[in-house]
Amino acid sequence: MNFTLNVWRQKNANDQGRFETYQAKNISPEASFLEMLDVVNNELEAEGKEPIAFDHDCREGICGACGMMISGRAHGPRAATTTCQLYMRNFQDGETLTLEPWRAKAFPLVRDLVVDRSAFDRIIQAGGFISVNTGNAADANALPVPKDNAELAMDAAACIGCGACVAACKNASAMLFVSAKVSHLALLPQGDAERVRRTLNMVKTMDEAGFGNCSNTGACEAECPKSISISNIARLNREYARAKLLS
Amino acid sequence: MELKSNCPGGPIEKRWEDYKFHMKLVNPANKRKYTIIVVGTGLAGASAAATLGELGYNVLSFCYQDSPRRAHSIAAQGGINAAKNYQNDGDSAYRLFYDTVKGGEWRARESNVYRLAEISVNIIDQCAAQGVPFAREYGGLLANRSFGGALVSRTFYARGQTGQQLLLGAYQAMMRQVTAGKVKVFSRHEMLDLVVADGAARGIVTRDMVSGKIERFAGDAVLLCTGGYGNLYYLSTNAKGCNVTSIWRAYKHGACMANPCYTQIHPTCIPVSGDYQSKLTLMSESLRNDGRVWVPKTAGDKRAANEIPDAERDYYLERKYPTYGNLAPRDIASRAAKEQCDAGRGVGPGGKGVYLDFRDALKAQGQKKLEEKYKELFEMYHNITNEDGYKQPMRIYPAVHYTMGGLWVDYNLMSSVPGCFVLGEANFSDHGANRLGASALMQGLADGYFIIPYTLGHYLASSKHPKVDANHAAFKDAEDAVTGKLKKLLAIKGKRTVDSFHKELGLLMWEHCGMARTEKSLTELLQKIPALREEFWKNLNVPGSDADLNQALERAGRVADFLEFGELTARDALERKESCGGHFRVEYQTEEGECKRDDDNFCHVAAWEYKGEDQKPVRNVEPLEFKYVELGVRSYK
Amino acid sequence: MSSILKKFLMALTGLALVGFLIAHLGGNLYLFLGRDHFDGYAKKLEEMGPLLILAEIVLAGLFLTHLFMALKLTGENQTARGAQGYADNSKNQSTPASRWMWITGLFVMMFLVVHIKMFKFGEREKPITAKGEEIIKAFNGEEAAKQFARESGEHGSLYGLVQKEFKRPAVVGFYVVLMLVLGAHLSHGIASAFQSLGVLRPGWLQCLKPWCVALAWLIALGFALLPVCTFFGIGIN
Repeated sequence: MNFTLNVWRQKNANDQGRFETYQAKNISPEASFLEMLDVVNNELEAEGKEPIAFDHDCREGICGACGMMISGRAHGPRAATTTCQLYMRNFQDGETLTLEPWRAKAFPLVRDLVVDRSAFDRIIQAGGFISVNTGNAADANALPVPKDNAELAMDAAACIGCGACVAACKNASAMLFVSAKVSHLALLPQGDAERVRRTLNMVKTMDEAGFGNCSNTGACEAECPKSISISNIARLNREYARAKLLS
Repeated sequence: MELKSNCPGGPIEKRWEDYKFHMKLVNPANKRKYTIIVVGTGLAGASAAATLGELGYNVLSFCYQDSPRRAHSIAAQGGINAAKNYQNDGDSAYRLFYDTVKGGEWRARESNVYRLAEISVNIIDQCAAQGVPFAREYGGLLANRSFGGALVSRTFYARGQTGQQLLLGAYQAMMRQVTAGKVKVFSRHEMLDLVVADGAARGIVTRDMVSGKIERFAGDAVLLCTGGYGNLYYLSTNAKGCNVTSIWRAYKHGACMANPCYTQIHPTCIPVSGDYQSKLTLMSESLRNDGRVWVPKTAGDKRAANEIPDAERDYYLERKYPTYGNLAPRDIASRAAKEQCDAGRGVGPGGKGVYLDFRDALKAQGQKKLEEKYKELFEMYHNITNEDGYKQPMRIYPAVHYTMGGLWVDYNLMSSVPGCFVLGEANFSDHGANRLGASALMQGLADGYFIIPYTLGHYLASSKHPKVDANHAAFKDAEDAVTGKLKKLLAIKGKRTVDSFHKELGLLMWEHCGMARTEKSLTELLQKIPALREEFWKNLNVPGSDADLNQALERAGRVADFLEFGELTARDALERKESCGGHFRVEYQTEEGECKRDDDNFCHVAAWEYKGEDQKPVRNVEPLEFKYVELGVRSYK
Repeated sequence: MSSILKKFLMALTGLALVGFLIAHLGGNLYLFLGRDHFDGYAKKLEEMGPLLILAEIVLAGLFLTHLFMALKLTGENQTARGAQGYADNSKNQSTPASRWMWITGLFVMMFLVVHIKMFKFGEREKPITAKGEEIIKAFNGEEAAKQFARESGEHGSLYGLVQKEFKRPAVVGFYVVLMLVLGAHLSHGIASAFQSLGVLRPGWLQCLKPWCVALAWLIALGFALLPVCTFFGIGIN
């Protein structure tokens, strides 16, 4: 298969940035999207040109490092899939693909398709944890957790922090990410003691990081590679109201 | 060099407890005077950073990813073992200890393994308290499942994402310490050298991968938690960034490298589909519970799988291992698959694959039942290969998955360089020659949460090393060496790309030092690697500069180290004239083709000591004693 | 104020305005019962005096809060998205209604100005002409004629005004189009408000959302029906 790639190239945060066109030739339909980029990069490197920079690591859809806008879709056209788990057979031979980095004020561009998502770390630092020092724990079975709650918590905890929700949202809102962590911890009895503080602090940090407001368009849910539901956002809103009333 | 394991004596159940009591403690007020450098943020690194922060130490944490949450521990699927005996099925710390020593073919220290088994129960408590959403029963209590190599149900899990959930738990605990001001995270920082000054590890030199800046960090101890070196083989189930650089740098400063030849090859991976392949994907071993493994009886049979009648199929695992059949352990199943493919009976592109067929299970149980058990795996297989595992057999092939070898450490997890501790997969300590399923997560967390806090304190309290800051000459030397090497890589301006060298090295390793090794293949390899290395330094082309984000340069540095490390691995494999676990020497096998250990001559740890650029490394030996688990034979007939 | 509090305000004011719309639509349906009923209803409302003014102030407050928050949120959201947009923005996985809330909102505001000017401050038809007054005077005496003239002169006939305006094709077209815009606004707005208030539990999301959308279009089509029926004389003559 052959593809024409329009790729956003930008040397660093201060550079202007522009689209450049590359040809990906003789790509196997069995190759993954990132392997297709490897082939293009390998050719660039052989010519002494700098390869297209993109974040990636595990290449099995769980680390959350990879991610880019592929012709207007976060992580490409396939639902519930990370960029690394996207295969070229999902595209038409001869197709032109536009590759852009996640765009959001809170995700400053680092280079080409690489952005700085450390705002997510700061949000977790604000309260995305349960305060239990090592050694403090009681027996794991001392505190039963209803199975349904454990399952809902796991649904939310599946978030890989890739930032597709922010990238896909017209407002660059991080509510899906924040709500997933708040939900995960609020649904478990272990997380109950810090529920109020956690919710208030995480939302505050989210706002300060420069993410937009949620307008419930649902684009985040549609693009989330782990299918995290926006019902978590409703839960965050409820948790927030509760926290405001209790604090 | 004499390798002192510092293992305590006495009854095995009491050893760790007694040892803990006799260790020196650091006064709480003094802890904040110490700076600890932790490299890597996987299960071992994150749990260590969090716990040391909680204790009051100042922790500097480094990772090459953009966030500590992305370390490759996150990709572990199956679960984590713990001797909780919640199922009342006869489990105990002793049984977990026994299974682990046996599973590792008697090539691990009894004291270490017992401690691991003992601590396993605390790990589950800690993780549950952190909010790790483990699978639960309707009564709200924790669920367990069974896993390979054990007759009890002791594996705790969070769907197919146990590694992710445990890592996020440790990451969150670490982020809490960031807020508390005790941990400082340096992401997108790659450690490029260890600094040893006045006889102890005192810091590291890193490269800021965004700005290209080379920085010095001084501390009172350095913890290397940088994972395994499976990417030596280019294709593995490891993340693309996994590398040997940090432990290789430590090796060059005097830390011994133990048993690098022990490589775990996992039998149920999705086969390679072409030369563009960048990594291999693992599918849970649990598939072998219902799938039957076979190849066509005739070599070169090109018919579609479903057109081959039963009489012309060879269900070779069932034939060779009637008792365990398709459930034969990882190393055995892997070797058997290779044997079939080498004989030309492999299926799929390039003949590198065997069938894993669910036809009979579908007939007996129906698709619905199978979907309940394996829906996600079938979907993943379908997504990657575009083949429907319900309609035609899956194709699988073994792939490099885990490395049992690593830096040699004593009972305190300290390498042969004082003050340089090694945790998790990066060390060699607990799995012997073969690791059992669901034990890697257990070891990483045991090291970070429950062992290092004690042993590090003991080191600091008893160490007489004066404070050293980053202006010390050793830092300058290390920085110069790092800068020099980067400049050198950029200056070659040859014709070949980094990946082409890495792929060639990987293939060499796989062919000569993969699932089966011979004296001949290893001797050849020992000639081919230096030649390839020489070409690398003459004909490599790294575009760009070292003053900004340069992913080609990052890869080049890692491959340069793999090119040296591969040689040591081959050397280790050549010297270990026996077969055990992840190291199969064709010359040393039983009549049935199984591993033939040589306990008289090789019941020891081989720890390689660096002697200089053009010197042969020295093979030091730490003898292993087995008082509790008698040396025996691992049989799965 | 945190982003979630702002959204709470949007949701609460929005839902209150939806409540008003439902009541307003209910009142307007008197049109189908004829001139007397409709004018009677209008008269009753107008006789509330200060209460009506109070209600109008509250409504204006709700509307202005909704408008102000919308402008603020939209501004913040555009800043958050950053200066550099996506080159390919055609495949966003959300409904156009949800993406264009601020545009539809602005159209609804524009409509409101026209609507209030047309019907609140519009010149109402007097039910009686000078000639008619003479006739009443001849039959019922001067007093009766004066009283009739006073009453109808004070209030005029709103029904008549509606009849007059809704016979103009341009007005009918304008109303129908703007009601469709309102429908689009509400089709996202109502469900979104419940989501913002955290009402949508996992199971409810699926159940509640279609009802919210249905309500939105019911309101919009209900309002659009009035000019159409008046124009064609279907049920309203």
